[in-house]
Amino acid sequence: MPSNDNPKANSKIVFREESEGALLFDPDTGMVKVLNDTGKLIWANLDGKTSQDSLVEKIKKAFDISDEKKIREDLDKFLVDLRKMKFV
Amino acid sequence: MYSAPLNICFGITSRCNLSCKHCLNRNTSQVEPDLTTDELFGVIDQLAAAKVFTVHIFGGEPLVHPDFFSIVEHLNKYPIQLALNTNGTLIDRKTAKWLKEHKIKSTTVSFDGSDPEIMDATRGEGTFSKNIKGIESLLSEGYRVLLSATLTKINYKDIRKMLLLAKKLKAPSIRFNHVFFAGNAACFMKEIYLSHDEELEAIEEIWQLNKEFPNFIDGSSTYICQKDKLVKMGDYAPSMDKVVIPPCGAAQDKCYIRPDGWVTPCEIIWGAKCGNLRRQSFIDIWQNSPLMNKFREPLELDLDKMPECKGCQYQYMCFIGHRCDPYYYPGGVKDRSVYCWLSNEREKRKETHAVK
Repeated sequence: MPSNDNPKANSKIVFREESEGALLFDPDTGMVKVLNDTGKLIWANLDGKTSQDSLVEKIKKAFDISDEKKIREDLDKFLVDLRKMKFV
Repeated sequence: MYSAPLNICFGITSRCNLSCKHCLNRNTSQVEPDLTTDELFGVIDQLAAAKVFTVHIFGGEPLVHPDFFSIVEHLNKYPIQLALNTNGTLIDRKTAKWLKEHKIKSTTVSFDGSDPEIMDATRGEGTFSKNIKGIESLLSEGYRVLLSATLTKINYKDIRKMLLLAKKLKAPSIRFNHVFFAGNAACFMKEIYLSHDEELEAIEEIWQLNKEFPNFIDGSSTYICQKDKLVKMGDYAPSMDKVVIPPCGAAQDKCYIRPDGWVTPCEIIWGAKCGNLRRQSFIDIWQNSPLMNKFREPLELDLDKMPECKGCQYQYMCFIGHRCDPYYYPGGVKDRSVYCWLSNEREKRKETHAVK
């Protein structure tokens, strides 16, 4: 997927915040995804306007991580998972 | 702890059109009236606000509720996955179609015999034909119907025939469960409870059938789990001093709402009343009930007080997480004699102690 894609969350997905992380739930399929704090930040920005490059920047800033390559790889993997589940 | 349960079993009515001999919910200590329809709507609103993922609609028999369809429609206002536990006897093609259209994603139907003589002996005259008709109606709508058989003295010789009938009906799976020591089951104890030997015979039969018909017997069947444990036990190193049993799903990711508004850690443990929705909010009960919190703690068993269990190779089998079975015994959730496979202690207990 090109990095300038602007992924958008499926509006049917239920987001539930927990004391540690959060849960995503699809009421149609029953599928659940557990999110850590990074996942929460990404999910909050899957608005169809924020590019993957911007997401990488936000993660770098929020969690003070400098390894951009690693962030990009993890983000790609995370988005692939979400797409497979039809959460985005 | 989750902020709210992921799954709820929601008893919308205590009434039922049947009076099955093994029913947990009959002859219980419920003395308060069922929640009104408006109160049920209020509870549903609370479950939605808490973002509960799945609601399993329970009873009694849910379809006996005069406002059953309005209750489902109210649930449909929210992004909640729905499942239905039913005896199937009130479901025809039209109802099955309606359920499908109203987002009931899955159904579990009681199924306790392969012919009228056996099923009706447990559930009452005329049940078999209505039950089969209900199952066929649901299957015709494309439901993945889980048939749920509770094994008693009446039907445990019928296991193979039940499975074959389930296959003939083209049901995708069948589950075999044991009887819990509560409700009607306690009243009909001598008539329905399997003896130690009968239970072992049932386990062996189901184990064989599971090999013969792979992936057809539902993995949650208590009998399959038991045999699984017996088989795996080889490498187990029994403890001599202390055993810690982790919590089960009760109060962890699920709980039960009784028809009279009492919230309990799971649908089996009717008596563990954590709070009533007529007087407390759902979230308050879930997050703050001392009893609910107690169920979240691991159980520590001091084997010095259980000399018969010290070093026993069957600990692996008995010291499992579920608390529903032992809950009804005099020793409460720590009473492991209910799971003992070496003696007929369980039978003695069943015969000598009154239920809570």
